[in-house]
Amino acid sequence: MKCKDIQDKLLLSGIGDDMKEHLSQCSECAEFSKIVSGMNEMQAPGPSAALDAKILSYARENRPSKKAPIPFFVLTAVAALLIIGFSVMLMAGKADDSNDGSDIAKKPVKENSIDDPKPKQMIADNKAAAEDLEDALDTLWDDEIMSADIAAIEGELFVLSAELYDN
Amino acid sequence: MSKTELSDKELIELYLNQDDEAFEILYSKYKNAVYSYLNKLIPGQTVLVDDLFQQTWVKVVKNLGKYRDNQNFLAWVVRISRNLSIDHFRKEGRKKTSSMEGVEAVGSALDLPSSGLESGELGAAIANAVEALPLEQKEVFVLRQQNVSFKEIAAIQNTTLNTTLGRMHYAVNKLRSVLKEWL
Repeated sequence: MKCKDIQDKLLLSGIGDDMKEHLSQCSECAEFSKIVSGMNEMQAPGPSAALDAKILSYARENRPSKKAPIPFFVLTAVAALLIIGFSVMLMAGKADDSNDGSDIAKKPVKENSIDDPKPKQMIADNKAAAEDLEDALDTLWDDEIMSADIAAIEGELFVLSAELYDN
Repeated sequence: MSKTELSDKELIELYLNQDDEAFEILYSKYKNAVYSYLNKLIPGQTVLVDDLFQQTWVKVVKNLGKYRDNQNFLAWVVRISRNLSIDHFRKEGRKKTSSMEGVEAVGSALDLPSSGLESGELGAAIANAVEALPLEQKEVFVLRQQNVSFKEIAAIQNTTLNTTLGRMHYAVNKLRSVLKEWL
């Protein structure tokens, strides 16, 4: 076995019988092995008794309730909102397509198309749908996997920025 | 079956069902590992370590209902602790952030007095040398000391298993060169 393999094995599973001979002949791996076993000698320091008491008392007084699974109606509402939003967009598209353009010449061109009440209403509807969707997503946002991933990315960015700062 | 033999998930279930003793067992099982992790990450700042340790467990209690069994409990707590530390130093500003990294010169770290918390001379020497490691390597080393698997460490650091193993290699080899006289 190569030194790298021996050291990987030492890290992953400790000293095995198959590596003893190598360790007796290779000073680099022997030292590596000493560090790895030496780190287990270190006793972890603990918090003070007062801190223990504070935390345990907090836990007694603030027991959380079990997290209920996401209610079916929330999922249904999200799905319904998506379908409604999509349908509104489709219908709006069809309405525009049905206009063959023959009356375009008759209609005076408006300077500001936002004055047209139909798009205005659509914008308001879409905005309301988006807000509802956002509320529903906020409920889901609590999911620990999502927040853990974001926290992990945040951590990586922090490490990167700290490295840049050092350099 | 004694409660101390229960799995972490079972202890959490019991705690959520009004059993305070279950939380005490869970807390006792991991408190030293989390405290030691923070201590190594932020050496020499006991008040801050105590504060972040307390904040960590407050957050753990608040979120226990959301804990999923598909991850190691200690790794989950350490992740909370790590994020709180990052938040703290981000709020404190860049100047103090650099102190969190503990990236002092190796020599100065070796001059640090031993905390007296380690048993054995090699253990104490390693503890001092560890403080001089760059944050990521130190983190891998400290978490391994707490028996967090390399896979879990990779998840905490949001990196691959190979990178984590590589960081451990670098850490151990740096310690080897620093601790030459002890080996």
